[in-house]
Amino acid sequence: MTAAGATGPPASAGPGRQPRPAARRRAVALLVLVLLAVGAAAVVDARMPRAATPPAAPVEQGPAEAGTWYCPAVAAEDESGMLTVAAVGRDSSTVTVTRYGGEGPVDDPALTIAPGDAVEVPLAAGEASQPVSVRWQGGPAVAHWRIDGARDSGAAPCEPAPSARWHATGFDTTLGSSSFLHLFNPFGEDAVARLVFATPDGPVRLVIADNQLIEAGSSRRLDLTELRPEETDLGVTVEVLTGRLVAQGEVVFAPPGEESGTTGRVLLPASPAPSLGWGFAYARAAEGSASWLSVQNPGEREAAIELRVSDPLPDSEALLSEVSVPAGGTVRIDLGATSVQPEFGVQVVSVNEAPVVASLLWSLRTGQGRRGVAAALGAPAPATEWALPGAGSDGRAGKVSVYNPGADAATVAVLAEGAPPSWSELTLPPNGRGFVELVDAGRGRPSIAVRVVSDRPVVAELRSLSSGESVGLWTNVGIPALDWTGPESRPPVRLDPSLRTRSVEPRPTETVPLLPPTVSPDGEGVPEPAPAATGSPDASGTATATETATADEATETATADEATETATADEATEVDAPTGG
Amino acid sequence: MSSTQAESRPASRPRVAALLVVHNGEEWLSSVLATIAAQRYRQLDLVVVDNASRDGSAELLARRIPADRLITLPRNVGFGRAVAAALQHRAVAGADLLLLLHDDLVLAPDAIGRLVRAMVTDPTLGIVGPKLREWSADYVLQEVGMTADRFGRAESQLEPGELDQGQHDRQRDVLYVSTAGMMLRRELLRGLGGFDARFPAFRDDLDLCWRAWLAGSRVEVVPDAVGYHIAASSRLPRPPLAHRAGEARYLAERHTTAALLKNYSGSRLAWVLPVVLLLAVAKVVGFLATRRFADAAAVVRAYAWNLGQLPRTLRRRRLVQRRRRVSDGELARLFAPGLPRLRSYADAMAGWLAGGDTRALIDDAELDALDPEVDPLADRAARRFLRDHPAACAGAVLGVLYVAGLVPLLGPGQIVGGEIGAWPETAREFLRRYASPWNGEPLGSGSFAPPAQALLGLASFAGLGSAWLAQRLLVLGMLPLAWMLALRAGRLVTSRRAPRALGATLYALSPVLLGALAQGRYGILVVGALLPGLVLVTFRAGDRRTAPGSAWRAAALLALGLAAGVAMAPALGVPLAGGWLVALAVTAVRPGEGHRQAALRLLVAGAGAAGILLPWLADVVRDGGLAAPVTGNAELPLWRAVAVVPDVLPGLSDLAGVLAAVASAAVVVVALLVGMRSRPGAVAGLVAVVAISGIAAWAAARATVDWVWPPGLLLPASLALAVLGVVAARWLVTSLRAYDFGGRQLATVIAAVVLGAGIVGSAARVATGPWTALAQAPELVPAFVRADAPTAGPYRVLLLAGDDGGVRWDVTGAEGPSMVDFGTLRSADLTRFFDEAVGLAAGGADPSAGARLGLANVRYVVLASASDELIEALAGQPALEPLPSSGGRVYRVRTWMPRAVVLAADRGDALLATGDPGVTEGIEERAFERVRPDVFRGPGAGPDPGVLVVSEASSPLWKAEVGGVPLERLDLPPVNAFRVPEGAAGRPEVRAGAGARHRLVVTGQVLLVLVILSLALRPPGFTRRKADRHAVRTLPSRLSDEEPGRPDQQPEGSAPAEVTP
Repeated sequence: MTAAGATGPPASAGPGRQPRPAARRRAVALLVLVLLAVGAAAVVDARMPRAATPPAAPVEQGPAEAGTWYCPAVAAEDESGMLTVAAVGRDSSTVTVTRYGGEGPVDDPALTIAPGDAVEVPLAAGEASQPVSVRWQGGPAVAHWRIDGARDSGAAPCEPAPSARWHATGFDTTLGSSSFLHLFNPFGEDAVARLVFATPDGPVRLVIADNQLIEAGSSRRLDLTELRPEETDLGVTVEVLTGRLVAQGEVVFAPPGEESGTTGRVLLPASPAPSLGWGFAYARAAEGSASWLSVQNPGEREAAIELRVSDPLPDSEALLSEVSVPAGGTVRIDLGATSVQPEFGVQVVSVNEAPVVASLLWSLRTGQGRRGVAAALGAPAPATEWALPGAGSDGRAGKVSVYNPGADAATVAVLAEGAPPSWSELTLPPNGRGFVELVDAGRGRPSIAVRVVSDRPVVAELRSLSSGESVGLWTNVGIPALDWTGPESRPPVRLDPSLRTRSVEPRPTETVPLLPPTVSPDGEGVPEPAPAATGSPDASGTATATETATADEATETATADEATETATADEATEVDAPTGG
Repeated sequence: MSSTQAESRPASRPRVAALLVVHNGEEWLSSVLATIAAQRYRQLDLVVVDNASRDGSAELLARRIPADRLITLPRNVGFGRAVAAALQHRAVAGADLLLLLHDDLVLAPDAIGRLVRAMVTDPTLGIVGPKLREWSADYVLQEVGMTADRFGRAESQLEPGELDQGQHDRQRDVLYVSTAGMMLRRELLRGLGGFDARFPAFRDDLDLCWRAWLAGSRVEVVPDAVGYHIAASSRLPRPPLAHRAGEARYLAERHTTAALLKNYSGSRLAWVLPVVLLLAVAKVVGFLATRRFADAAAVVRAYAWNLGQLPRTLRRRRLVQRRRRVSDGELARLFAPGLPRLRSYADAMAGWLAGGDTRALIDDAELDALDPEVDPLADRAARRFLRDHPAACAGAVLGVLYVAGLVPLLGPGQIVGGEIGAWPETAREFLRRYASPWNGEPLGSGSFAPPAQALLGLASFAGLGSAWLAQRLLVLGMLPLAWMLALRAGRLVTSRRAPRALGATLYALSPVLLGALAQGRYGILVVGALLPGLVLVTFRAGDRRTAPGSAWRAAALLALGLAAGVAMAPALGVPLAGGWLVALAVTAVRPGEGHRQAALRLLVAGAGAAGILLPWLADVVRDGGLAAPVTGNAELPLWRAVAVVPDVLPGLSDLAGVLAAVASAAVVVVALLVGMRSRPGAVAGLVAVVAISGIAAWAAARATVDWVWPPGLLLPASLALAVLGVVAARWLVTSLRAYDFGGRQLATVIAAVVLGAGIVGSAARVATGPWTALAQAPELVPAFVRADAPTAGPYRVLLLAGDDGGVRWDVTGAEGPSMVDFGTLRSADLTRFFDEAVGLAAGGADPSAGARLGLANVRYVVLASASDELIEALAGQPALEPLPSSGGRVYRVRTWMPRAVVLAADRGDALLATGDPGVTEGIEERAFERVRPDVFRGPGAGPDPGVLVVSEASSPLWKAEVGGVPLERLDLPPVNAFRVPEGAAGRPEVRAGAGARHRLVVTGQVLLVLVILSLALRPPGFTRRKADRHAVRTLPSRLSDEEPGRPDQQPEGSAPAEVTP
């Protein structure tokens, strides 16, 4: 009981007047209402927990109505080339070819390509030494670039976009072989790039490979043999520091011995990003031919990869265990004795979430002594639609291979003008492979626009082998539809006024001066070579080429020799019936 | 009396002639005559001059004054000329001293004797005057000699209503004494040439005494001599002053100026006169602002009179300067130091700010004042100061902590963060932008400029031309302003200072307010600072017991405050309008006299605010173009909302947040414990406000309303919590004393400790500078992005950020974010355009998307932060050239087009067909010059035929012409294009064509604001001086009870005057 008792506080306790009982009752009622309101809100909060704000849904977008293909690789002055542009949509495509010569970009007259057609733009000697870009509008088109040398051809699809990084693997700079990197800058600002090499022993950084300047509207052919000689299974990562670039590799295999070793030329497409998986639809391991994978790990931790092939040999050692790819390094995987079939599809899968880049090289030696080599960058993901530009049947044996790496059977249709009905109903079992010969669509056709569509994601690849004096061997994994349609959706976009006062976050990559860093005589300022690197720059910043071949290199050379098997001309030109695996 | 007799008189008993000038003074004339008759000084003659009275004074004088002592003038000639007429009287001719008397002055019986004694004692005295008290308030001083500032403003140097406690009873030199009771030597008056005949009233005394000083005589006030004065001429409407409004001001102003012109030396006049003229202009503006048009006209007329009278004034000036014996420097001591008017303004402002005129709604007893005789802290100065000035102490401590936390932001350079951008170089830039019919930046349109621009422009003048200072004041000054307004608004609860200081501190330290500053949510911050003031003026305007003048002033301030609040934070317009509606409804439905008028005031306030905002609001509704506020922090759990502890500050997300919530609960608990028995309604209402506000904020956060920052809705809760703190602090001790010690006291002590800990924690947080979003001069974009502005003209910079949530964008001008963009309505067309272009560019499906950015004047694209996907996508845009940058990834748009430029015909046609400007190297040379935000002018005359592109939001307002010939408009969304025909001659020009209409609307808006300001400065029912007519017919009580002068003070030979009543 309080001193004031039931009468409440004395007058001095308040401002001088006592509230009326009615007022107090109303106040209490109001407080009760407040409590009820808060309680109701609490109940709502507990019973109907606020759903996490869903991320804004991507916005669907239609297929692209314009695009550009960049073809970086250039031929020597005495070599010719062939640019193939195929319209792969339902609408005709208006195409403009731009050549980047010494006097700046020059546009060819615009071409109109009917849907399903392909146009070949022959490039005479001298013209093929200029990189080109191909702009298309209206219906989509794809572009393919081929260099025809005296003894062999190199071909690759053109690239749909520049990138801040490029990765290419499968280079060889051992004695007699030359490797080149084509860096194409068709834009208005100079570009600066840095090369990081990947070797079987790990990454190698060279001062002289830093700050490679590629002037606006030009292409530069870097001789990797000078930068990193006597290296086999060499990978390169191109880091674009400023500006934009499109990169592609080129390897000319020319062993010292005329009758042994891999001989020929390949264009090595580069990948803008590593991937957890790579697929190839065509590999050959039979008499006279050998296939091997070059896998590059541009990441900072070791990658563990598994190999899968169609129709595998149960006791194949290559398929039974994981292969380790060192961080920043490369590894070579021989595909011999992996499949029961001489030709098979291959899948490379990283099992420890470390993305890699994989190229497949295939060498051929015919009974007539013709030798050649082909290379293809794998497909980072299977797709349901592919374009295979560059196909023809005029003195060439073309084969379209399709590999189904999935777990379900796929129904595939190979679309081309004059294609037999059987091409439209190929059934591929899981991990199965099939193929068609282009000659079935008509002999003597210089250009055949080929597309592959399927109901399940597959990988399609085109192999071409000339029947003339030159072996003219090349293979290309097709161009997935994503490259010409663009993504089906785009990220949601919204206005955010807070950006205007937010400091710009620093670039993830370091700031790089436009000029090469000064190297002091005592070596200060020279980046430390990777522990496993075998080459180091000398005091003047020039890489020495005095490394001695290691025992491993010698072993690899021997392996390559072994892989140079003889293949008969029949084998090379055989037309297999679709097997379905 | 003859001159011979005068010569034979002893010097100590000079003959005095009293000259009483009468004009319509019947009301108090009898008393005046009676006191003259009661004078004890014997050598006194009286001459009365009737200045053409019309009120019965003449009849009264005829009855009481012998005819030979009465001079009746046919018309009112003014005081000076009436004195001149009296000087001709024979009774005056023999006098040694003259005593000038007004008809509204009564003198104490010994007054004349004391004045005479002073004159006799000191021969250097030329003029003396008595101490004047108020007629109707005996102890209130009216005048103890007068002075003026250097610019002529009369100054009594007395406090209003100052009591006469002998504090001024020292005989001393003064600049002048009033002619009401002025005694002067007859020879001096003759030597000076008498009064200036052009001065019928007002400042004739100043002029005469000033001339006396210059001639070598002295002027003194003799406080022993006491008079009681009505000052009827200035306070009561007596003809002729009553015939014309502002007449008194007119006469005072014109005579003051004329006196300055005559009496100052040339060198002094050279600097005084320009200042006087400037002050006159300010006065005119002030009078106009307060609707005192007659006074404004009076000032103008006064200067016109002086201009017309200049030759005569100069002639008199020559005479005065010829007789000068004393320099201006020697007289400087007689003038008021500094500017007395500033002091009076400051006094008025301080009174208004302190809120002494606010009636406490809950506790209206003034209990702070203690009997000094029983003050237990009388000998403990520090504790006494703490007790007597709790607000000052709390403010000082908080100020020190606040400044300590602000140190990183007090260096050179602008503060940027959240909604806060760089302040423009001059405050005029805000107003210029506001007045422009086109809001060009960043994505402006022809929509009406946000009133926030005008508000910021006007407020930025406080920076005295310094953008740095203006920004610091208007950003960092908001928290102190909130504290001060909360302190003042606390008067609604109690007049005690300590509880109010606690409440203000609770409010200023509330997480919402601190979070608003920390995150740069400027609009919320401003509304938070204004909110206590808005509540205060709402109560004052809606309270029928508020004095009419104050109530209307509050209504006007409410109108301006509501308009400012909505303009600064449109999202809070809903709660602000809701609060106003509730106040209006509650006031309107209450029975009793006066509530209707109160409701009318609230209605006028709301209508005024709506009127100010109407043009802008109409555009907001029409365009829906309000930029979304700075997003983020949408998470607001219910417990945080109800406890008013949103996670908006560093440290509040963990245990400190829980403790802060406990502190909030402690406030509520203590308030309920001590308040529910005495003020249950108020306490329950405040708790309800906390709960409703909290639930509203929680609901807004759940609903994810993107244009609302949910914690901002907690501002009312923060204020209510602070008021609960005031209630708790006010009645805590007295309430607990009413009970035996028990659980109630224990709970209260625990709650108080928790609350104290909460305040200390919040203060410590402030001292650490938790202003996370604010940075001083950050590198928002690389310097080279801004560097092109001088050569390339205006251009836009697109900012991009990409993450898992998608791609976000915004656009700034070339100079980066600026506060002149604050609140700008964005063009819906341009916003859609950027949404689409950014989406396409980021989607990787359209390589021409980047090229289209150039059409919208985007010169650079800056990635504020970006995912690899976004970088890859932008790499596929040929028109976006990545540039080397140390800060981030920057692209130059190769298709950039100036804000206005003429493209050659083929390029223009291609642009019209494809929307792609193509590569535009070197196009800067052909860019139009931006004369104003709404006007562009082309280089040279005679442009080549082509297409004129204006990269402002597409609007029919834009018109183009060449040599006065209008150009054909073309369709090029989202911008404007015109066809330049062959053979066009003349300089091309483009302008937004709604200038006249826009300026008309702005003018109307300005007028409305001026009217409301005028209402605030001089509300209806407001009178600075009130007529005091009571009891003027009777003698002042002191005079009737006046003790005869003490014997030692009585001049020898004093005797009753020789006056025949």
